[in-house]
Amino acid sequence: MSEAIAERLRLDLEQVTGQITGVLRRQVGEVLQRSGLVVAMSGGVDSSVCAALAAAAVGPRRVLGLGLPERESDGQSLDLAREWATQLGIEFVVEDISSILDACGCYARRDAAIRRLVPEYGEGWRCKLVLEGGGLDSERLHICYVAVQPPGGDVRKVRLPPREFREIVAATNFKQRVRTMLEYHHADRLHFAVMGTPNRLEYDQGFFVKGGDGFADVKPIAHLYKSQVYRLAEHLGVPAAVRTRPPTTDTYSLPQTQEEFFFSMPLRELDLVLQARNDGRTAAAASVELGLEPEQIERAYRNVERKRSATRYLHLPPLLVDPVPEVEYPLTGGHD
Amino acid sequence: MDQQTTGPAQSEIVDRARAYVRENFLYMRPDWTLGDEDPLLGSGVIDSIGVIELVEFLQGAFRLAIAEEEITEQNLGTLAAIGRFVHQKCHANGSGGSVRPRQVA
Repeated sequence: MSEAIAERLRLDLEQVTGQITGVLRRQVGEVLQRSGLVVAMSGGVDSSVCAALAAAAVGPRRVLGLGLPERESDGQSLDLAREWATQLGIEFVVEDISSILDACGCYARRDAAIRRLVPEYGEGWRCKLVLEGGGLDSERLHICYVAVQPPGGDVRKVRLPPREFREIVAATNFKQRVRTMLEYHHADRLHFAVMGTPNRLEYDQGFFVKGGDGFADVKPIAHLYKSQVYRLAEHLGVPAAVRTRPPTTDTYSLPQTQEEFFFSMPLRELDLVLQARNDGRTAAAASVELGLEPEQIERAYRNVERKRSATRYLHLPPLLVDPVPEVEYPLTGGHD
Repeated sequence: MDQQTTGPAQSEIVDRARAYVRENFLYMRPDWTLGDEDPLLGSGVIDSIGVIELVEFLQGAFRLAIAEEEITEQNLGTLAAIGRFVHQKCHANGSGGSVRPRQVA
């Protein structure tokens, strides 16, 4: 990576922390008129940074950390979240959402869709979705597979027809939506606001569930690239065990990185590509800076734009026929 | 009989693909102009799952097997590209090309 790119992604960490916490205080206290913040903590770097920013902004006693595991969650996630909450001095409540997910039919609906493709899929099997194609070195478009593994057996992949893909995603989206429901339950109970934790890659590329993790009152790191979040994490004292963990979706029973499920290229590279794209640099210019071929950058740019186009719907608020100006509020409210 | 005469003409492939895209992806947008060279991907017409639906349609309608490495923007990015790609496949393998829909059991 060239110095120029590194320079553009560099942050004045003290200044950024002060800016975010200042904006958060105004957003929570003045715009939202709430008394504190609820943060769902996954044990990942984004939610760990957000929890620290929340504690710094409104004080640890006005922050509730939530651990929301289900039966397919990685147990390490909850341990890391709890340890960080303890270090921050914030209250940490654990709600196992497995029984709610059972009642919604989350697992049963997903498994029924998988069984149409893999009839023997059953008790003890594990699964995940894998996206292939769309990388820097291939003209192939994205194709989604379901990967399944029988107990003690090998993982195998099956190409997903559209119907099964949509049914599996719709079923697993219950996980994010149930978590959001519980965040708002606690927010209502405490008169708090809910903090969303997407970083810029997730927010820009639409890697969230509408009505699930995409739904929150404040999103304090949605403008920060992933590498910037890592630097901020170190600055805020987030433990190395959190910072060195590969970003996972924690949504499927087989281990799954965000890269293989959604982004289809290493997050570090995507960070740089997105930054170059947003800066308006041509593929030729970016290729020199990033040490990649112009064709690779062109492919990455096309993927960025395709994802933006495909996920635009997720960003849209409910659409009205006529505006109701009496209740509108500037969405970026809270800034000076 | 010569394959060139049994397989669908490129223009017919384009027309059928256009009708499929209109019916399945633009049914709420009848005013959308869909030219042969207009991009289908990244323009809001077809998303990544839509591509797989399109591939399933083409495989069924023209009795083709489309390999994963063939699922590219070059082959499927526009109606004209689809026409060229499918026409080439129909007339290359000697078995494809029927415009009859694939029988479903």
